[in-house]
Amino acid sequence: MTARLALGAALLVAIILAASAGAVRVPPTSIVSMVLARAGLTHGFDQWLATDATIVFEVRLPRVVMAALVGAALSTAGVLFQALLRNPLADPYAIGTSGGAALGAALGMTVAARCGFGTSSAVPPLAFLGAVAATVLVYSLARVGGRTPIVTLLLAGVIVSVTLGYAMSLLLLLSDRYGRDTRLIYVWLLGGVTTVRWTQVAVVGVLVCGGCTLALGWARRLNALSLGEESAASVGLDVERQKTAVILVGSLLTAAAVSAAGLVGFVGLIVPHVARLVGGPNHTRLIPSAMLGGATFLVLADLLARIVAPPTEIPLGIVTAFVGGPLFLYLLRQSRREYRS
Amino acid sequence: MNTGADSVALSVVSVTFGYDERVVLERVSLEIPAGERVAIVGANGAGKTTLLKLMADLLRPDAGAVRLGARDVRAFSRGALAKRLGMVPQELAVPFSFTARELVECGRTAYLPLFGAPTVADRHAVDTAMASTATASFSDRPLGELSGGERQRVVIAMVLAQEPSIMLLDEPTQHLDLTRQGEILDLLVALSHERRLSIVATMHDLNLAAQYFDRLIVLAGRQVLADGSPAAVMRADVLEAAYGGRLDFVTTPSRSAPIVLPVRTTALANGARTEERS
Repeated sequence: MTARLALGAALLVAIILAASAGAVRVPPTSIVSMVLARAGLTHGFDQWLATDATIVFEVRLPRVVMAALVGAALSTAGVLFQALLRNPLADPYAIGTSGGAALGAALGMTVAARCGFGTSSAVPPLAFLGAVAATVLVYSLARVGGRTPIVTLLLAGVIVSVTLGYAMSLLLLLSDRYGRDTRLIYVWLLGGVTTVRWTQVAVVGVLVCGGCTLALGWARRLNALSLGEESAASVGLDVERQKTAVILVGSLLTAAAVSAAGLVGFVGLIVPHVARLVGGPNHTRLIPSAMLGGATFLVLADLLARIVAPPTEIPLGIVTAFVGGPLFLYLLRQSRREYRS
Repeated sequence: MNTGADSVALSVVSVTFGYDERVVLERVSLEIPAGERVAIVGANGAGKTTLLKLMADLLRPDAGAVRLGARDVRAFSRGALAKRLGMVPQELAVPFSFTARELVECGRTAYLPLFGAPTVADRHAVDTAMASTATASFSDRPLGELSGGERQRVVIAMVLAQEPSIMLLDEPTQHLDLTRQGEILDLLVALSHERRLSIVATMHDLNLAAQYFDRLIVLAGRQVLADGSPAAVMRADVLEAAYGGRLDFVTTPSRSAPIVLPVRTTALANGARTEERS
């Protein structure tokens, strides 16, 4: 319990730090009093500049909160898919979600933009729809006689992902020939939470909070599910129903994250791993730890992406890979409990 | 329904089952009374594990039925079935390193509310299961660090936490040394007495099966070849037909059933002692 309280505190500190840092530095204390005053908890005197308040509330906080939501969603989806596929190497994109999201985003940037919709408004919903559609396709392809064997699920996931990836390449190649800018899609593929409004935060927030609540409620069932289908059934789990529910919620969380931040890699793989190395694989602890840890990790990664080489922003996916990879390898060397059995 | 039906915990009624074209069991019938210890024996591929999985409703018969009390097992939900019948699989491969207690807690899955924490009853069932399997002393150690015998006791504790009246075990003594085999089987005998638990186990080792079980069921040629007390079943005509080879029977005064061994066909270095004995 103390570990999760510490993680919660770390997330809060990370959010304040991230809201404070940037081209205009706003002191962390001002941020705390601004938020308290805005929430009606204190009648603060305006010891801060109006422009600072605008920067914090309209630019930084929505972005920081979005990063936290995306981090929590990807880590939780990672835990769900790892329990489902009984493999610590499974990630939120394991069953085709990324391929569908990428194709959806590419459609948004090429076709939709051409039809007169703005790229920024067309990409998130199309990426979301693509992610969900690809997952539904993979799931229905993998179903054999009312069951969804894990092997066919993985195979269908890989094949659909690869095929959709090439479909996206073809689409980009064609649009490149007509002189459209394909650099945008590559930037999107590397992930990032750049321009965010509170309405977007609200939509993603509802999806992520709902998904995370369900995952928390399933913690003990996920322990049983990771024993394998036969053993899970014989201890009393309705395996097929639980699998369907896990796929559904895992994909929704991933799709929500992808629609907000593009394809941010590594988070759903590394955060659950680190949480497992530190606190063990019991989902009753693993899920809250991964959720809070993922949120903190992505807030800090987004902060780095902004401040390393201003005014240029480094794509978020590059930061998560460069920071997360070495960190993970270090922890792997430190604790080997997980890999002895 | 006759009055005796109450004491029959599980019955297999004329069950036929095959994998695709290959029929493994054909019109197999048997009854397991409450509190009895039954070993299913037979050659490799005779259908022992298949029969066990049919009993656990992990496989569905092509014809016939498996009944729990008077009801078809298929009429139970997974959760309702798990509260009555538990299964110790041949190999439980856990991809994540749970501790012993975390694994035993999985045995309470059927009792979980839709959302929510375990109750006092859940904790009590886990404590009791770990106490009666002598696993409480390493309850916080990861499974990967336990010996084969300790690990097997933890899996048995997980099934006990389900509070079933029937426990099915698939090769419970596999990969264990002699002393550990005895420990596990003694534990099963004790549990069948304490909890009036019916125990059905598939066994490779006929001598251990005869030593620890009330009754042996011999599967051969898709059917029950023999069904009875160890002394009645451990006969040359039955077992040589079931295992398809010559066997050596050694009677000892301390046991009601003979000890059975394969007959060595290659010559011994120091003479033909084996021939004299058979």
